[in-house]
Amino acid sequence: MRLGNVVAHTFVQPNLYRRRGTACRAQGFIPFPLRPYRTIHAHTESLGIASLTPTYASFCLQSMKPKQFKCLRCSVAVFFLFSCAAGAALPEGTPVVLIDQNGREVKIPAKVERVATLVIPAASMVLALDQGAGRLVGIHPASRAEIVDGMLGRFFPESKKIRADVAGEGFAPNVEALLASKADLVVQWGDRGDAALSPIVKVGLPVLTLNSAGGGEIAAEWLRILGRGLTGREARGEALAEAFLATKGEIAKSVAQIPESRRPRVVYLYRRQGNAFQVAGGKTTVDSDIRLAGGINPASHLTAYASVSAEQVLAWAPDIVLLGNFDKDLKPALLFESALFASVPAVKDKRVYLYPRGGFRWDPPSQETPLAWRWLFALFHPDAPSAPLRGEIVETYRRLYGHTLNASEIGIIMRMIDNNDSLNYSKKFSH
Amino acid sequence: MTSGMRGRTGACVLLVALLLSTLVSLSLGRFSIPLKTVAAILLEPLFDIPAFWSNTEAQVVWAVRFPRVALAAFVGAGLALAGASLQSLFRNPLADPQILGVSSGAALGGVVGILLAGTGWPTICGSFAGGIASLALVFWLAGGTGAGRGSAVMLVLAGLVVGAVGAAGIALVKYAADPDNQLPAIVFWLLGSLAAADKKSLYVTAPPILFSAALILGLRFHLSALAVGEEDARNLGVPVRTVRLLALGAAGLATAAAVAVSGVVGWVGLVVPHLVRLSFGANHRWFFLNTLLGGAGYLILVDTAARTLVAAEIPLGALTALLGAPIFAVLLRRLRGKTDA
Repeated sequence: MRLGNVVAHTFVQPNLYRRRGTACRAQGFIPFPLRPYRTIHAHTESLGIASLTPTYASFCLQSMKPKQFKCLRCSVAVFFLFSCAAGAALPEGTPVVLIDQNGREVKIPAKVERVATLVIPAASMVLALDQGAGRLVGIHPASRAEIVDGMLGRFFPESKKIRADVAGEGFAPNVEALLASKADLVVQWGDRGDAALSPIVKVGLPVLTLNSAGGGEIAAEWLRILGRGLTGREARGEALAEAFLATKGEIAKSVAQIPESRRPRVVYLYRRQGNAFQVAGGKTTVDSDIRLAGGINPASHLTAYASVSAEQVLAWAPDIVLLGNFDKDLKPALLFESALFASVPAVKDKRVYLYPRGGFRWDPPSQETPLAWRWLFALFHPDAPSAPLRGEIVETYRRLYGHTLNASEIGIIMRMIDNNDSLNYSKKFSH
Repeated sequence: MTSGMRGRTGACVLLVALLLSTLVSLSLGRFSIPLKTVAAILLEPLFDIPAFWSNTEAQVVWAVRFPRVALAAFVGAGLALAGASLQSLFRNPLADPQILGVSSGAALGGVVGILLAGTGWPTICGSFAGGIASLALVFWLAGGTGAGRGSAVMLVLAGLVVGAVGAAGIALVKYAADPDNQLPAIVFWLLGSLAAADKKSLYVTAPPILFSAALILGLRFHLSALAVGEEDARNLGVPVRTVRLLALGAAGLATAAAVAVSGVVGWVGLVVPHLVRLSFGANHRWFFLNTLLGGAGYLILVDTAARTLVAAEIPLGALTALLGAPIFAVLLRRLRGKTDA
């Protein structure tokens, strides 16, 4: 049946609908009642010819509304110009063709009703785009943890029950679980190797791939692509992405006015084990976020999340230390109490901060990355004017999740308790 | 020179080398501290030296470098001794905790420990249980120690089987682990590195390794007799069964303790005993002591390279394999020469 969709859509090649490289929904092509449509395919396929039988064609045409018919007629005309050489016949079919982040053409059903995602932040993005959990049928186990431990489980309690067995280690898909979830669209990483992708493609599920490499603004592109994949959310995805990038422009503009000499040296600690720390090196989103918010990452010559000794952190002598959300034991107090780090400027000045965590952790890219940028900017440049963060958070959450935060929820998101001893934190972010 | 004199010379040379490598390692690091300052900081507890160094410098030497160098020494000594005793026990020059699958068994036990209870003592208990169990399994699969000429191959094959079971088990545990908290801890630990060394890891590792080292050194005559042959050993009055059990236990414990703090660091147990044997002979009185000193010094030097060459840590396991594999290759050639003859 899915194969049928694919075959059908080879007639309606996307060159008809693709404008300037972006995918366009073929909304005009949803006229056929589902059952006859599928039967057509079984039939045409078995004949091995690319045409509709006259009976079916007339049946389908009769069941059309005039507007749809007109649309079909125009398309047929255009289509013939392009493809009569190939011997193809009438265009048909409901599927929509999207171009994903890797330039793949993905044929998705006209009405996507069940989405499974192996991409960890995509789960929370789907919740944000839909402002509900109705369409999400399968998620990564880490997405579940994010929902349960973060704020989304509070906003959308039913999201805590979504099956979380569709992905294994290294984003390996559990194809049977995906099939059992009856997903009609799967979201997966496109830059984590073929083993993560091809098993899903092989069973005929349409896979929308996202790329993980890039700065925090990559999440804007994810919003856009997911919006296109979720029927009826294209405009919303677009709007959220626009707001996202507008914040980036705003921050970049403020940072441009700050001379290089006033940019703090910022080290991000991801995990700690004894005297070993994993830090964000170059080519990480945190590195690019630090740069965007007007900081300098002395570890940027390392690759990814590199393991370094405590000595190396001392040698970098950072002005600010950011603590990731992934290691439960990594809290500002740990550094403030350590004799080893006492001479580090960030520890002396109490500029050690634990990343907030709301609908998603603020350190990796997500729909909340613009808030993370504002937070970073406020910490890096306490004297520069910036909009009060609390207000921005409330507004963003209303826009993303349709939820109005109360003061205690903001306190939890901002990690007010853990960051209580950090410089100016409670003063700066209490209103 | 008699073999005893050669062994004694070896012990002196290796002791001096160990002390030197300790000093060199303590004075090297990414946070630069002048050699003079390091020396003064180290001597300060013994002599009354007015502090001209900063508190941070003292912290780096005592809280960062000292635990790491000491841990490298313990792990190196433990792995080398475990290798040497396994080689004597199995009368097989290829025996090594990693090749016999013991490291991988211990790693499996360790990750199960992390899965069920967390890092620290659960890891070392799990590693120990896994190490001993896989050692027993190898022992049983290879048909004991007296299987004659074919035993070298049998032993390596048995180790392969046990190692594969361990690797599969680790993969399963990783699958079952909580991706948010446990999985990263497991991956970090399995990387095989001494980077996490702090005083706590030293407290965890030192007692079991000291205990097994004492046991193996105490059994050195018996082990040397066993290395010649079981019948000969029995004629010399060696309680074969007891010695074998004790030595196996000691080797398993040392390996487990090493694995628990450093993940799987391979080849040390193979390379060091052979280098010691080549340089200073296999005199029963000195061989095990020399192996202990050599193993400690060797791993200190390799780990110093791992932590100082570049800003990011080089995985220790990768470096020891890089050094160990060529030596293993030479050994294999020699062994083949013997079997062909």
